[in-house]
Amino acid sequence: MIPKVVVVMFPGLNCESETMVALKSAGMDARIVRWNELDKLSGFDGYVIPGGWSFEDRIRAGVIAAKDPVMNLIREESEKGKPVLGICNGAQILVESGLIPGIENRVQFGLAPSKYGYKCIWTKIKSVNKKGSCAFNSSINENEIIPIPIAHGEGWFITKEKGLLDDLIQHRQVVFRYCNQIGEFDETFPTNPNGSTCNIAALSNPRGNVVAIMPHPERASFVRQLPDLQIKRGSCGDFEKMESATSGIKIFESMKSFIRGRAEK
Amino acid sequence: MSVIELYVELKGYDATEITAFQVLKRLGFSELEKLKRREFYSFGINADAEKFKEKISAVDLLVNANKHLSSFELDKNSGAVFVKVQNELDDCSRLLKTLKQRLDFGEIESLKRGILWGLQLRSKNKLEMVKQITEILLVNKNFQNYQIIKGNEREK
Repeated sequence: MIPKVVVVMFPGLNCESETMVALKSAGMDARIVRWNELDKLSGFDGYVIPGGWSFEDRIRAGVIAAKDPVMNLIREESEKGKPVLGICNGAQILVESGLIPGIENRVQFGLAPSKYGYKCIWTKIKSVNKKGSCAFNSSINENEIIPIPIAHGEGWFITKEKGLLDDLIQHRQVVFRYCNQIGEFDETFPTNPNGSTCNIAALSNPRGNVVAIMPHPERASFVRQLPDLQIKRGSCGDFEKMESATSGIKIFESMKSFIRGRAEK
Repeated sequence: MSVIELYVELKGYDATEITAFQVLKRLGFSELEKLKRREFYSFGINADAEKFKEKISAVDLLVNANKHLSSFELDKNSGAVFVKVQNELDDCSRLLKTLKQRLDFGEIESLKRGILWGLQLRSKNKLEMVKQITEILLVNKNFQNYQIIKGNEREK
C-alpha cells in the first residue's frame, strides 16, 4: 500500500516542493493542494502543512491560516486518527488552531518571537520518547540525535497554563528537544536557537497523530543538503550518494509506517 | 515622570488591517464596521512633554513622514473601542538603547510598544464583542496581553 498524502498549500508558504520531494522519497504518493480547494482535500491518508509565511505572517505567524475553513477539515481528519504534520509555519498554524497540544479545543500554546531574532542555522534535536510513541518517530530511536536546520523568527514554544508543560512531558507529547552535540539540553544559544521553553522543538497532541515541528526535516533528508563537508566530499561526483537519505527523512518514513499500520488494523 | 504615547499608522493601505477585517467578517462578526491598526509607543519621560513630542517627531526612526501618519492623541470621539496589544516578552531594550545612545534621548526612562487596534461596531454590547474579537484573533494570551480602552474608561 502506498500512502496518499497531501501538502496543504496556503498563500505565502514556500516549502511545498521540497516537502513533497521528501514525502515521495520516503515512499508516499504526495501531492500539493491549495487551501481553497476544499473538495480536493478530503480522503487522503495524511496531511502536511509546510513552512513559509502564510498570509505574510499578518497579525501573528500562522493565525490567519489557523482561522481558515480548511482547518476544520484537517481537524476532522485528525480526529479520525490520520497523521498531520506541521513544519515551521505549519507548526505555527497548528498551534494557533489549537490542534497542538490539543488537550482542550482552544489555543493553549504560543510560538512567540524568538529571543535571538530570525535565525537560519543548523541545530540538533533529540528524540526524547520511545520509538512509535507518535506518528512521526517510529523510525527514530529514543535519544537519537538528528542534525536539522531551522529558519524562523517566531519559534519559542511558550504557555501560561499552569501544569500544562509537566503534563505534556509526562504524557510524552514533547517529541523532539533541541540539544548540543552530546545530547545535553543546554538552554543557551545556539543549542536552543530561539529560547524555547524546555528546549522544545516539536510537540504532539495527546493521541500522537498530530505533530508541530519548528525545524525543517525536509531540508535534512538528503546528503546534498547537509552542511557537513566531510560527508559531502565523500559523495562528490556521485549523484546517487548525494541523493541518498539522511536522518531527517526518518520523520517522513515514520509517517508512512504509521499510515500503513492504521490500514492494517 | 510623565507618559507620552505616540501612535503611528500607514498613510496607504495596511494589508494586515484589511486581512484582519476580512477574517473577522468571515468568522461572523458582521457588526464590525471598521478596523484600524496602529503601532504605539509609550514613553515614560523625565522632561517637558511638549518639547519631547517635538523632538521625537523630528527623528525618522519611528515615523517616516513619507509613509506614516503620527499623533499623540487617541481619537476618542470616533466612537471606536481601542485594544492595545503588547508582547510580554518584548522589553524594547534594543530600541531604547538606540534612542538613548545614538539619538540622544536621555530623558526616556521607560518604553513600551505594541499594536493599537481601533474597532467600530454596531453592537449594543460593544465591550463584550471587542473582548471576543481580541481573544479569537488579535491576541495569543500565552505571550501577549491586551487592554481595552473606551473613551477614558479602561477595562482589563
